[in-house]
Amino acid sequence: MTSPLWTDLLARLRSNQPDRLVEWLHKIPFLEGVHPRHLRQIARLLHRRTFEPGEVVFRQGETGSGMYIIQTGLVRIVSEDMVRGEVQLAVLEPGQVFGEMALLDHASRSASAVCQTESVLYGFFEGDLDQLERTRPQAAARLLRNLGLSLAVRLRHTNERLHEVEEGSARANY
Amino acid sequence: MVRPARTMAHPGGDKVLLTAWILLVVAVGAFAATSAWLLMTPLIAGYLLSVLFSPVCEAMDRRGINRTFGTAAILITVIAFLAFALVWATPLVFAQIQEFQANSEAYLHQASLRLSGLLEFLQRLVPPRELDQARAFAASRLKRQGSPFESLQDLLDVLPLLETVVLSLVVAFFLLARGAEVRKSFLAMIPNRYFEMSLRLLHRVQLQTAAYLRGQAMDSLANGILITAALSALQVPYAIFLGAFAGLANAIPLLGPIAGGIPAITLALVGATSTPWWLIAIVLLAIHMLDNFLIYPATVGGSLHLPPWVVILGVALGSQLGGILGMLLAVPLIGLARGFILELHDNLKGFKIL
Repeated sequence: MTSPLWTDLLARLRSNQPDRLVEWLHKIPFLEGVHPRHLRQIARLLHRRTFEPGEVVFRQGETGSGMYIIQTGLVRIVSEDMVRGEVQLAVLEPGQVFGEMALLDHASRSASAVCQTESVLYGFFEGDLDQLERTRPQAAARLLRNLGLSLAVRLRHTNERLHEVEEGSARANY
Repeated sequence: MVRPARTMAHPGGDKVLLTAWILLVVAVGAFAATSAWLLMTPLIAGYLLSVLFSPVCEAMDRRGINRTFGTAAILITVIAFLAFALVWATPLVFAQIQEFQANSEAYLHQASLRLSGLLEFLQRLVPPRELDQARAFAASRLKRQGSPFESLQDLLDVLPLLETVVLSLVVAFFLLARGAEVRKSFLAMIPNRYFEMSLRLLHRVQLQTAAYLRGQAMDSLANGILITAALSALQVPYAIFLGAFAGLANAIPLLGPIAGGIPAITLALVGATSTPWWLIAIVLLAIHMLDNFLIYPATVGGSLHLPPWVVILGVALGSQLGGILGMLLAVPLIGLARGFILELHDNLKGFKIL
């Protein structure tokens, strides 16, 4: 008879063997610099979700509580407003991350995420970050640092776009 | 516009599904609560233990100690502590019970003198047969307390308690070692539309529950120690039992501090100690004030915000369902259920399901 406890212990003893998910996570730019041992811990916390084409991952304005990493499939990020209707902001590919702002501020989603094709996503949420902070603070610190870097890059990109728009508008007025 | 998800193709169907889920959960919960209270007790006790010990387990996990080994080490320590306490406490408990039995006649006599007026009043109010029955019941209980293991049957009566303790420890071990995986497997079954909301709800409720339970345990422990020390200083007999009882009773808002103080004051009234009853009452009141203004805000923080009638009703219902343990658990459980419902409402609105 197989005992779950012994199975677990044996699995843990064999845990030095590289895991497919850990190997994949190692290639994700967002997780760059995270120690493989910590990646294994993060892999245990991730939630695997499968989405159909056209299925909404989250909607703009909904409460956000975490981020997703795309393993397979394409995800459209769309913004909706009363004036312009639906505006596609980006189409994300495997290995890319979205929704990470909600991991920090737990505020409403600033855009919707819709799967363009059948997709497999790995979710990482506020509870998982709390758990990581309690059990592997170094991994959590590295993850938060990467998150900060990602947001800084995005802010810089947004500033540049804003600057371009302002310049374009000034030229048009001139 | 965003193309609706397959799961959102029939919003009415989703609502029916959600209602069916809620009804199923409520039905299973109600069935489990009413028909399997015996099973619920070790489950609840095991959960409480796992909440209390999870910071220790996480600290060991942080130091790279295997979670299963860490959990086993914690529970072995707890069992060793309980065994030591049992070996050390059993003679003390028996000695105190025998002392109480030896003095019980004197206490009853003293009590009857003090309460003669009340008894006359009761005789007028309650039919004499019921009063005699109550008196005989009280006398038989007092006699039994003097010799807990008079027969083999009495010893066998203790076995279910031992079974509950062992089962609680097993549940606690399972939850500490594998709780996260169980939670993850459960969450994996939730449809995408409700997944994030369920995860957030579970996380928030778990945080609130853990903070409240750990805080309340610390508060009860602090109260128990303070009251034991104070009663010992006032030379009140059975100070450890009275302190432990007052500490446990402290978990019940409003009624707890009063219920916790009654035995000590009653003992003073029946002449078990030379300390005047009013001095004991003042000391207990001072400890209660210290708890209200200093200990409780530091340990538990927020209040459960339950109206007094809910507390009274909850305690009455808890005592009917689960005796003393039910009384102790009822109010915290109602408070936590209230927190869960509020959090559920916020999440349903936040995720635009309501």
